[in-house]
Amino acid sequence: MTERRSDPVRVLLVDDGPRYQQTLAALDNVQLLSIDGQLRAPDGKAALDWLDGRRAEVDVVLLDVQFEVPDDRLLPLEVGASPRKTRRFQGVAILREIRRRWPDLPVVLLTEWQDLSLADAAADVSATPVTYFAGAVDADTLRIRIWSARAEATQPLEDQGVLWGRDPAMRALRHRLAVLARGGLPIVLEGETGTGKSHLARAFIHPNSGRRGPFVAIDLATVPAELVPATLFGALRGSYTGSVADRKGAFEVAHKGTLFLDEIQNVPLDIQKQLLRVLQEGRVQPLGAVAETEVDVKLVVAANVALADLVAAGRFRRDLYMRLSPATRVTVPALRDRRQDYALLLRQLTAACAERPAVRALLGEVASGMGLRRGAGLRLVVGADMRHPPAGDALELAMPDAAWRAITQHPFPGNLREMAMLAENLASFTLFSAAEAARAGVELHHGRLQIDSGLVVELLSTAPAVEAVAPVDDRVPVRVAPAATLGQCAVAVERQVMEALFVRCRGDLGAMAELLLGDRGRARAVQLRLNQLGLSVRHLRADGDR
Amino acid sequence: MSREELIERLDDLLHDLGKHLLLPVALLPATATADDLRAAIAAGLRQVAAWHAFQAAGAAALANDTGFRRVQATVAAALVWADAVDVDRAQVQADFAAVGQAVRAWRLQVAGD
Repeated sequence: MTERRSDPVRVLLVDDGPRYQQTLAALDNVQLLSIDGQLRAPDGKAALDWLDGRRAEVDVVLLDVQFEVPDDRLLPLEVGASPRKTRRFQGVAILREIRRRWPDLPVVLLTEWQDLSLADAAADVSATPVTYFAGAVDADTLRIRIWSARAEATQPLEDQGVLWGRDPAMRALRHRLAVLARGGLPIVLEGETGTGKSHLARAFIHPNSGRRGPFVAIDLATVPAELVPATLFGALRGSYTGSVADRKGAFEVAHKGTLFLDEIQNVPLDIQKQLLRVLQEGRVQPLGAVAETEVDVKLVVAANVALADLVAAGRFRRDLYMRLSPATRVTVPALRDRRQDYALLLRQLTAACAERPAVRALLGEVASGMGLRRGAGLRLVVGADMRHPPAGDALELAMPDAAWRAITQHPFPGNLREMAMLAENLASFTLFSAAEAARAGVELHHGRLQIDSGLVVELLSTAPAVEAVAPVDDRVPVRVAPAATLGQCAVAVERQVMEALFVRCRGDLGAMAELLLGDRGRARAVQLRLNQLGLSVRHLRADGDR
Repeated sequence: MSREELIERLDDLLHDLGKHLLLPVALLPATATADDLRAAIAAGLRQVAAWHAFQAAGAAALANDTGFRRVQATVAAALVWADAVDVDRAQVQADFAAVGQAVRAWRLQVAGD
């Protein structure tokens, strides 16, 4: 779907009274959708019933928080919640149901005041992508909020060589990176190895930065510690052992452009101090030089661990971390958290691997034997697509259902890199077998080759044995003090554990649920447990901010 | 009125003030006339049921409560705008925002946060 600038944003208003309707009807470029003759759905049930058949007609949902409606029109909030509380936070119950059924549908919660109790009640859904709080707004701000929500939800699945997919977290990330790329502050990219941080920096951040200088990438995991200063800041001939010529540093080479420092956590502490100085003053002093050189770079740094954890452990300088604008750090999601995009990504990666020389040679050989046009591409066919005959414009690789099920259940610990290798291996093995058969005189006409299920299972089972779960350390030191009962003692210990994990997971209740229950979707259970232990999420977050 | 009930009523009041008064006034176009503004305030005030219910339920019991008195004072200042001849939009918004701030401060105090 593409953005239609001139079209009004189609808004489903969910509100028990006419007040917002009157207010919103006056906004330009906003079209309130009609539900049973009214410009609003009066309760959650009416909204969900309407959305069930007409989701495609809605760009954005605007949702009130409190609903004074009869009991039989209320959606349940949580076990044990009183009718009063259920009414008070009915918007949260509706939001949860919308998130469950349509995770990519943008929702703006209409709440004018900083609603203290709402922050707690909605903690599990407030941080989900495409969920927004209207906050204190004027007409322009609300219009921008609504327009941005639609723009974010309708952005392309792929652009500028990046596969954003349908996953709401990736779509939100694209918007965030587009904003950060234009700004002057550094960007911190965090995420597991293989999630595509380097590609994001090169293919998206740099081209969107508006900078005309070069893109320079340094992988600090591959630079020996003693060469890091010369690599980053430059060196004059003879300034260190083996230095036979003047050398420009990465900052100087990237002047007016973008400098991407991958695996920044590998920079030794003493060099971190020099790096901090460069960021503060915008000048570098090459090794052995007296004069400084002015540098103007957009700095993007990446790490496959949480830098905040390294700061806490004393392995990364706090002052440098703060200089990197950590408030806007971006976490690139692991592939296993984007399962709805597996088919799209594997299709694109299969098509892309046809450009690799080895695959292209095999493809050319098989395709010509099938009578396909010269230069035909490679297309992966999955599920229902296999019911259609081959289109004839590309050689198709058909994925059997059983093999596809195995792929969808695979956690891809190596992330996109692992999936790209899987795509290339599947293409190579399948094409190689077909080419051999063709050489032996077997005639191939169909334009479609079946992938061997056994091959898929074999490739998946021999995938790199990387830890599948997010790199969160599950060891927590606890202090045991005498208490009146063992029960009290146990609660005190559990409180410490939960507080420590909250900090370690940076307030992500889903990550805590994954760690504690093996299921990211049970964040609500974690929140309830925190409440039972007398730990307020809001207080913990406030402590964290301090 | 119990502590829990008081917190709930303050939450209701915050919700109603935001929904019926501050947001509609904030969303009026820049070209809105004084009549538009007065109409928005009057319509909003009719809708803020929470304050009326709040007063009916516990005004007498809370008469000596500092938080209640502070809220009552800010509400009185804001209500003046419904009948004012000259309406200053920025001041209207500031006065209603002051009600919200007073309610929030009281809520924090009651909740012991």
